[in-house]
Amino acid sequence: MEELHRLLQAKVTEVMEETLENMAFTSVDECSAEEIEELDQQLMGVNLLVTEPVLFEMHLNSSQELLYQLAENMYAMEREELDDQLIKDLLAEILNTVAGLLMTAILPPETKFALGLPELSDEIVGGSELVFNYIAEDCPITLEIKAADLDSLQALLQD
Amino acid sequence: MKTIVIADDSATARMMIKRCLEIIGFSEAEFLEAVNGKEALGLVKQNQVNLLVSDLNMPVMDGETLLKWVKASPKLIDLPVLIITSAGNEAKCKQLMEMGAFAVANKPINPAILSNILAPLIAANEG
Repeated sequence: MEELHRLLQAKVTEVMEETLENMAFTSVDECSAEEIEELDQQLMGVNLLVTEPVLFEMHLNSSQELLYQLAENMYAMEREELDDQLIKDLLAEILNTVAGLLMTAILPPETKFALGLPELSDEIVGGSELVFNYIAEDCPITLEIKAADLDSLQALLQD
Repeated sequence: MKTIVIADDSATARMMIKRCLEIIGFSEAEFLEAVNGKEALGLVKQNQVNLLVSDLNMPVMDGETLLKWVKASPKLIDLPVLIITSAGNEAKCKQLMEMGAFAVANKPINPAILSNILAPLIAANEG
């Protein structure tokens, strides 16, 4: 599991950076689970299934505060003008983009992949050892990867 | 006046695409938005549309099915279809181009990427 985490870490960081930079001119930094806990912010979660070439699930937890900050930048709107639906949609689109970039980074160019639609979730990150923690704008954002067959996922990365 | 249809189930994605298009030369265009392929197909049938920008992964009707319908219609066959997706790689891009897509771009997009891809249409828009 440590080897798989190591293989994924650089790629996940790269796609998190690219996504938030492109969407909202925001930078992210890797951090520890302890740092995330210390920040103690209200989180929102979203899930997305990767259905091909191997089945696994990505779960993104982001601080609500970060999502509001990103939305204020992107939409050029005041906080009181932003509604919950817009914030949820932004969270889903971040995971959608991260998932696509990560699969593109992992797979050989000739291998097709398929993503499900993002679904909002109350689940809290932590059930897997493949957790990648980041801080953006002093707020936590965490990606978790869960797979029933981690060997297949590892094989993809080593190809 | 150019008319552009943007099909994406994400309001965030539609906003980003619209903003990028405005920046690269389509600020005077009329933008029509759809949340799935079926809605987008209705819009391109009912309006004189100059560009269709579509996501792939959408509920009800996905972008690939939308592209098939557009390219199967004698009235719409010449409509340029730009696919912007998070689910694209070289293999998928090749397949979509063979189906008649004008171009395929991966999310996250930015004005520079779209400007490059749409250079011929921008020139026509300015002409």
